[in-house]
Amino acid sequence: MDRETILAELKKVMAPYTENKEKLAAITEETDLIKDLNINSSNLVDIIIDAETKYNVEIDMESSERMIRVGGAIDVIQEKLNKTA
Amino acid sequence: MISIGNDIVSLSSMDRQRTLDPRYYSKILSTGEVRLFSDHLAALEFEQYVWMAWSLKESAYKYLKRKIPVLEFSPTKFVVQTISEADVDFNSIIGGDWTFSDDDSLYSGKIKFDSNVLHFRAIKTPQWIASMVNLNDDFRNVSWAVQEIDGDNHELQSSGVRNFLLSELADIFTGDIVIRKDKVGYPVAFQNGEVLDFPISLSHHGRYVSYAFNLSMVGDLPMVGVVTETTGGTIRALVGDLPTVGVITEP
Repeated sequence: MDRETILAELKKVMAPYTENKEKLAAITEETDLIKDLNINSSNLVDIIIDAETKYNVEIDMESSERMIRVGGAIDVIQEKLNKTA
Repeated sequence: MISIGNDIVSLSSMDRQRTLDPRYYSKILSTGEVRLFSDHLAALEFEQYVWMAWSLKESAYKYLKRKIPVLEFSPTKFVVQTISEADVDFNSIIGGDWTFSDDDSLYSGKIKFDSNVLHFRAIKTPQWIASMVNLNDDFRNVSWAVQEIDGDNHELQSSGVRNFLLSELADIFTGDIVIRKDKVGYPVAFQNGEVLDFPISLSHHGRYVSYAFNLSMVGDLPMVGVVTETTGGTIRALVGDLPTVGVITEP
């Protein structure tokens, strides 16, 4: 799965957790979920669980620190998908 | 190095059913931390314990981020070592516009990251969980407070927590006090354009805002609040009943 597709899908995953819809629509791989999208850090577990469900992968919390940035989140999801493929 | 870390979780903003799912809480708690939740934490529901642990990990992360600027938050790397309920009069230990009731409880204990062991205080109410960490089990010169604000959007939270902090700093410092962020992202207080060199930590979630700061670096604050003995330490109230104590000009 290519990075653009995952990025587009991540927008949907993150939508319930940010009130800033304009910034969400314009995210890039550099976007920081907490600093740029004002997502409360307590919602990170929600996002990880939602991403796990969507991609049918398991994301360990060691990887969670990389999920703070969109590019890192795409890396983690791609790695997990490759593992299960 | 003196630092400070605090955090607040609005419980109504969290999904209760989801929190109780082992798949969910196992991303926050280690098996050891699940075991720590035992009978002596009777005043705490498991859901509240999960978010208290989360909050403690956030507070510890914020404390250590000053020491280790490259540190990233990974909840399972911060481990709650001990936790016990303390028997104190709440209204004497924390400020802000909050009246504590029988449903509220205070906790103290230790949390570890690598070789760093930090001491904490945490408060549970039916609405929120707040926590604060310090290097020693000595909370002199630490001020900690919680306030409810009028809404839960980011702008209100951000201005609310700053105004709340400023209203308390105005009782301690004279002159023009402003809060800015440094390049790592920490709040820093300025007095007439000059940095006030003491650590501040801010947190907001839902309709609640909280701050903590440690004034040990700029000098002893006069003991104006009520000092309350808790398990192994003291917390003093600064907020709410703090009279003007004069200028602290030389960091």
